[in-house]
Amino acid sequence: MYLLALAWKSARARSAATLLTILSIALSVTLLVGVEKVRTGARAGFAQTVSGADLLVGARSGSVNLLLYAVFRIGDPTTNVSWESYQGFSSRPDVAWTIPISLGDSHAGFRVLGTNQTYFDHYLYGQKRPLEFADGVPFSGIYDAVLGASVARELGYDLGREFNISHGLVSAGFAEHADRPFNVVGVLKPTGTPVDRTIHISLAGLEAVHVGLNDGPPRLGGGRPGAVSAEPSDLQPDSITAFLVGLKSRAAALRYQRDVNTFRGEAMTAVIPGVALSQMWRVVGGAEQALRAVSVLVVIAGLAGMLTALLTSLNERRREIAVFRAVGAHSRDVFSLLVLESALLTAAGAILGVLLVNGLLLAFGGQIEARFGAPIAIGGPSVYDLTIVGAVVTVGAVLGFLPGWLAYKRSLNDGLTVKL
Amino acid sequence: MDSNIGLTGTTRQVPCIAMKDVTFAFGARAPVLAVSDLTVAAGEKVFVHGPSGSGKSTLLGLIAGVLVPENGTVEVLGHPLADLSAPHRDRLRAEHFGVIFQQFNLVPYLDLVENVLLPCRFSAARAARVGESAKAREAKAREMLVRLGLAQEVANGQVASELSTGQQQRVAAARALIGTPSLIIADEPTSALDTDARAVFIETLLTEAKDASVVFVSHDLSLAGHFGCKISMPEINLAAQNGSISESAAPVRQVGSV
Repeated sequence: MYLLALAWKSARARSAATLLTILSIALSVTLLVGVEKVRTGARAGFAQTVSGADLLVGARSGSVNLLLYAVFRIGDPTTNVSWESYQGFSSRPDVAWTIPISLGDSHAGFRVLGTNQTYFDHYLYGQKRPLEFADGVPFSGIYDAVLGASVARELGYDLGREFNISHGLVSAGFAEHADRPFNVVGVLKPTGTPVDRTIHISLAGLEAVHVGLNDGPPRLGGGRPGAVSAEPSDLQPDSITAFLVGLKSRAAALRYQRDVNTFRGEAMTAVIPGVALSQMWRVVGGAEQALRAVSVLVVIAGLAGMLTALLTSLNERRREIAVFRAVGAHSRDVFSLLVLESALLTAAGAILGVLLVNGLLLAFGGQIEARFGAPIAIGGPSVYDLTIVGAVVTVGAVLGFLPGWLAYKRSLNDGLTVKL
Repeated sequence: MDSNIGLTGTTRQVPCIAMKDVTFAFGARAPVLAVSDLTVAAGEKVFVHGPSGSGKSTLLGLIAGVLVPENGTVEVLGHPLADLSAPHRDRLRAEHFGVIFQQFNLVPYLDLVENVLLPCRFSAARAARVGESAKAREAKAREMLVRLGLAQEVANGQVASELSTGQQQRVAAARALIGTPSLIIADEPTSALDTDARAVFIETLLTEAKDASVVFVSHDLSLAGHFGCKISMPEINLAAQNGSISESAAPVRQVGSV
C-alpha cells in the first residue's frame, strides 16, 4: 500500500512527463473505445431500424444503395417507381400490406416522408415494436403531419403548429412550397431510428404541394387552392420512391423478389432488408477492421511513450532507489514500485480516455445521430469500455516489468553506493 | 583504544559486526575485498579510512547485507547474514540500521518528515519503537529534525530539494537515527561539507547515536580524532595489498575491546 502511495508521489513529482503520458494514453483509449462505440452503435442502429418488412422495393439500383436512401435516409434516390407498378405489386394475393415511401422534400433540415395510414399500422422497429404516439393521432387530412420525436423536440413543435415544406434538403427561398402550411396532428414516441428525424405526411399532401409547382404559379384568387379544391382521389401521385412489403408468408419472399427483379414493365429492385444489411457490413467490415487496427496501434504508441518516459527517468532515480534499499526496501519492492507506477499511469490514462469518450458522446451523440441517422449508445461506460481499461492497464503493468527489472538489477549491483 | 563508552552489559555479549575470512568480487573478476577478521563491538564508534578503491564501500555493502560475499561469514547483530534470505537481510536493515550516504540521501518528492520516517515504512518493529501512532511518529521525526537544527525548515514545510547539502545531510542523519538503530553506517557523509560543519555534524551524530555502533567511512584522516577506534582499509583488505589473497600473510586486525 505504501509502495502505491510512493509510486503516485513519484509520478506526481515529474508532473509534466506524467501528465503528457496520461494524456497520450487517454487520447489513444478515447480513439479505441470511440471507434468501437460508433461501430456497434451504427450496427445496432441499422439493424433495429426496420424489422417488420419482408422486402423493400425501389427503382433499379444496388441493394445497399436502395436500403440506405429508402430506409436510412442516407443519400438521395435516383429514380422513382411508377404508381402503376406499385399498385400492381401491392395487390398481389401473397401481399399482406405495403407501405409507400415518397421522399425528396424537407422542413428545417428534416426529411419529409410521404406515405399512408399503413405506415402507422405496420411499420416495426427494434424487437418488432410498432410505432407509438406520444401525442395526437395519425394523419387523416391532406395537410396533416406526424412528427418524429426528435423533430418535435428540436423544433419545439406542438400539436396544431403550422409549417411549410421545401423542395430538396436545403431551405431555399424559391423552392419553398409556400402558402400551404401543414398542420401537426401527431407526435411519435422516440424510437432511436431515422423515424425520429422524419416528418410524415400523406402522399396526397405531398402531391398537393407539388401540384402548384408542376402546373405553374398558384391559381388566382386562391389562398390554399390545393387544400380546398383538391380531393384525395385527384391527388394521386405519379410515382413513389420505394415501398416496403409485408408478405402473408415469409416463404414467398424469394419468389416476390424474383418477380420484381424480372418485371418487364419497369426496372426495379427488391431487397430483403436483412440480406442487404449483411451485404453492407461485408463491405464496411474491412474498413472497420482497418480502423480498429489503427486505433490499437495508437494505443501501443501511447504505451511506448510511457515506457520511454519511465526508462529515461531510471537514471535520475538510481540514487533514490539506493536510498530505498538502504532504509530496508526489498529489491522486489524496487521492481514493484516501477510496475505500480506504470500501472497507475495507464489506469489514469485509460479511465480518463473512457470518461472522455463517454463525455464526448453525451455532448455530441445527438449531432452524430442527426447527421448519420445512427444512434450511438449513450449510457455511460459499457462492459466493453471496462474490458479495454482492464486490458490497457494489464499491458501497461506488464510493460512496467522492463524498467522494473532494470531497476532491480541495478539496485543489486549498486549496493548502497551509486557510482555515477 | 578505549571503546567502552556508553556500553551496557547486555549488548556487549554479542559483537555488532563479526567478519571472518571474507572475500568479495564483482562477477568473475579478481576479488576487490578480502578481510580475514574484523569485529566491531556493540556501541563501538569506528572510523574506517583509506583511499578510494580500497574497498570501503564494498565493506559497507557487505555489512549492510546488500552485497553477498563469495567466501567467509559476516555476522551482524548475531545474525549470520548468509543464513538469512535476501528479504530477511532487508528487514534486518530496516529494523536495526541507519545509513547515511555521501550525498543525495533524500527522496526528492517526499517532505522532510516523510524522509526521516522512511525506515518505519519498511519495518513495523522500528515504527513501533519510534511511536505507537502515525501522529506520534511524525512528532518524533519533527523533534529529531529540530534537535539537528532544522526547526525553521520543518516549520516552513520545505522539501528536500530546497535544502543546502549540509541541511540534507542532517535530515539523513535524523533518518539514520530515528527509532534507536543498533548500527549506523555512514559512507563519507561529511565530504560535501566544509570543515566547520564537518566537526559539528560528526559530534552531533556521535552524541545522538548513543548506544548504537557507528561505522564511519572517510578518506579524510583528520576526522579520526572523533572516534574511539580507527581502521585502515589498505591494512585490513588483503585483496588491495596483493591483488590476490595470500593465505600465509594474513594480518589479523582485531578491533574492539581488548
